[in-house]
Amino acid sequence: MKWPLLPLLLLGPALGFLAGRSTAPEPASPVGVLRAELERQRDVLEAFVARHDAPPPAPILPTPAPAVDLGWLRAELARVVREELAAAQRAQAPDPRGLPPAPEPQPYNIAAHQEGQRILDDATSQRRWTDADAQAMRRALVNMTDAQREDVLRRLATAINTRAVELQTSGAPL
Amino acid sequence: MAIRRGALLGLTATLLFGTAASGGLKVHFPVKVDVGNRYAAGALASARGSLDGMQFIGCSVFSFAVGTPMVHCIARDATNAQASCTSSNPKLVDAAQGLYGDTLLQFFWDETGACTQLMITNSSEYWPKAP
Repeated sequence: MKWPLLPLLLLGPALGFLAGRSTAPEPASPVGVLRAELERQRDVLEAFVARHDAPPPAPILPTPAPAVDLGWLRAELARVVREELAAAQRAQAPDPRGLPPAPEPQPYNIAAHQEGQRILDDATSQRRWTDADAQAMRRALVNMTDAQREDVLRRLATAINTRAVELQTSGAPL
Repeated sequence: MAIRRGALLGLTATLLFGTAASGGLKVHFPVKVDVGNRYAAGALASARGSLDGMQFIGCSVFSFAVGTPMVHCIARDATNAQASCTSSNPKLVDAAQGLYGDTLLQFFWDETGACTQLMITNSSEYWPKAP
């Protein structure tokens, strides 16, 4: 009876070993490991490319602004605001001197005022005030109202003070 | 001899001190423009007599057939700094009409270009205008 037991004792473990070996997973080969890693890296790379492959948004380029004399502009804005406020106050309050309110500008007043403004605009754009400008302004002043004269002469003074125009006259600018 | 020496000393003293006593204060006031403080000043004669060919100072009074008189003052100094102001204030217009060739003119203005003060000084120490 011992004789069949010994082979069984030997065969059992051996069979068990062989069964375990047959059902054990294949050991990862170096090539396999590398292939698996490469595939994983490829997936990562493809996902990255897909995310960043979209065309970039068009850059918003600022349009170049024309050169503006800020000092002159500030002075002009201050002047306009003051004039509007003063006009509003005058419209509400009677003249302390008892004088009647100024009449509405006539078409020739308006035309003269516009001419004066054009002369100033041209001079400012060329940054100079010449004898020709002075002569033209003197002619335009004749047909303006008091308020219009004050407006253009203040604008001229402001342009001179802020160097929006350089004096190129033979002496006084008017 | 003593009399002659005394006469000579007296004559010398008269020439020296007499000449000094006949002269008065003379002030040269070139145009200066201070844009930061909105102030300009200058003697008209000093500006005219300057050698830089640049500086001038003065005021123009506009009288219209229709409307209120106005004054417009202008200055430019030797550094080419320029300043100007204008006003229809009758007080300032009247003051500007006191300008003469010996005048020292000073004026202030505000940020809108309006004259706020005119100072007209007619005094002997300022040079008279010369050709």
